[in-house]
Amino acid sequence: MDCRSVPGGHTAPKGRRLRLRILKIMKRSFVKLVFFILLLGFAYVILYPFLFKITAAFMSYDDLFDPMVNLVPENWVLDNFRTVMETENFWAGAVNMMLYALVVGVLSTLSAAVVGYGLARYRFPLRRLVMALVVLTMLVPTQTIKLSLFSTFRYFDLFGLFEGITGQALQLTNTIWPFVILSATCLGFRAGIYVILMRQYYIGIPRELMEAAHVDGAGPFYTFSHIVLPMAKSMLVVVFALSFSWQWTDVFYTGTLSGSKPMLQNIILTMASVSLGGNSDYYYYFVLANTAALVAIIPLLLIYVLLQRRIIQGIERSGLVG
Amino acid sequence: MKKSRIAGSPSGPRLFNKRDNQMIGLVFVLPFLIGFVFIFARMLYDGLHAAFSTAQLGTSGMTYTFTGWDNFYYALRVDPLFISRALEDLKSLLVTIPLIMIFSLFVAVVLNNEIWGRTVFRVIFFLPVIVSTGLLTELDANNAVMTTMSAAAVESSGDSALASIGDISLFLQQLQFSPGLIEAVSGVANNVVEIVNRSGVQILIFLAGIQSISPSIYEAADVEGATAWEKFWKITLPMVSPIMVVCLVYTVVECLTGSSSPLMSHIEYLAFTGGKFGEAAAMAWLYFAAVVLVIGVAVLVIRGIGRAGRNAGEGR
Repeated sequence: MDCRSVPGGHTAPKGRRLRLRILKIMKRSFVKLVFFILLLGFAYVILYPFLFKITAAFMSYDDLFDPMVNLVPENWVLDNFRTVMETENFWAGAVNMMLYALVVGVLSTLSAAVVGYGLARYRFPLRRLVMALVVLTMLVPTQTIKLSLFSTFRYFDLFGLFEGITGQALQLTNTIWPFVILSATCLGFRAGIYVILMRQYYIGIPRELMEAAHVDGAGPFYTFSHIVLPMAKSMLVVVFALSFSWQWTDVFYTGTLSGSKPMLQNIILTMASVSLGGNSDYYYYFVLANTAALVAIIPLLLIYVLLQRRIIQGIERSGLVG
Repeated sequence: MKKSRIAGSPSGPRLFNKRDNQMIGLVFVLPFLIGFVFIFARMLYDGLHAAFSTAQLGTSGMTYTFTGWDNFYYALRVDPLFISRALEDLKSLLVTIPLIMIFSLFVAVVLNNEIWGRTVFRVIFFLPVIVSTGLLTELDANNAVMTTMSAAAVESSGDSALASIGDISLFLQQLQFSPGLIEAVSGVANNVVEIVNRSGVQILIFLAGIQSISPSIYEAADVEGATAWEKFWKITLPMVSPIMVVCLVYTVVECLTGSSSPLMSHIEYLAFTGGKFGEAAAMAWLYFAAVVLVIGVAVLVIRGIGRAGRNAGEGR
């Protein structure tokens, strides 16, 4: 608080200065309060679906249809959880969901780290073209490629090779292989972002570091794996978190490429569609579907809460900025 | 990228930047190139091929019969829904995207101040990015339908005003507000949900951007007697504009490839239920072209704003 902002300047009597100072602090606190309430409101909007799922999950069958019971259950019961977990293939579906998420997460992170490095560090011909292609893979709407995606992996063949050998193309649907292939080549769900994120980060690394390594006789791959990669840890965490969680909650690729395999996402969607089927108990099935989703989401939520500081810091230091 | 000079090592930088060395970059980029050539390009080709022909799913893959521009003609002239739905989509895109950008910038500015619990808020605002994708989006769309269904059911059975699952329009109806007002408020409310949930990444990006502006600029402005309003428009906004471009592209990509837009569900319906793959493909490409156009225009506009801000700052 300096004297210039007080009318009368440093010649103003002490009492006046004190009152104006208090007013200023009050105004600042008021503004902070308004902002706080606004943020609270928005936070509620975000959290509401989860709130609803949680309370509905614990309601008994009777409570669900009792119009007097709205948000807070009368009797907290675990029936819905039990029903959901006894659904056919629930656990098989859950295991698959987690396994695929892990595989896709790791592979996406590694491939993005490698490809991003190539785009950041080296100036090879057609570099800009490759960058444009990466962005292109993100721009093409997924519905357009849905059918082609399916047929590509249903009749998987590299220029007639497999057909030449075995007389038939490989059928890769309902296995983990499409996911392995897609994530290893940076073609997964919005995987272009991972490449872009890693590239931005690498650009922020001072060239002197890599030049010094070069002077010391380090080859390009050694420089990458032993010097640059360890430095990129914070960004690697971000990319892994995104790819892991997006695969965990993915319904598009899972539905298209693994329709017949027990996958929790597909199971939950089927449960949800039952609720729309005109059954008189539709509300109950609707709650069951939401409970199942809750069960599916909880592990992911926990992981996020534990890692969130790392993730958020990773983005803030990403060098996307400045 | 500048060539830096390391004193006393004449061979260092030169060898470092030699032409052949740069080709190693291609090796690093190889995984993507392989995937693109063998898989993605094929999917693109399939899509384009389908757009120019009548496509049928046979026993060993797709069969195509070339029909030239017929599908595009169909999309633009014959199909009753394409143009109206496309316009609907583009309209909502044009509304949602600026709202998301403005909202994220606003929240980022607010979070930059010292508000109680701002780390908690950061965690909460970023939550939808991790969790509210794919499965939850589908489910919540389902939930929205259920809400209307069950609310209607309760209404017809004449039960209490409490029985809606947070449906604002029902709540307001009970309070006897006029239908026009209810519609307006519900519209805004539903929009708010969508915008708040789609802003996670953007908020973080803006936050990082704002934090990278050195405080000395603000201090200088304070000395000159600038108000908070002026500080925002003359300092924060222009310095954040390069980031806005990044943010904008990301937002458009996300909105476009995101969830169910009325046009996309129509396209899907045509393709999978109606068996009209070719026409559906043509529609998708038309829409894609339109969106690329929108992105291009928006990028130019933002660059213009940034330049204007900087010019104003330099007193031109």
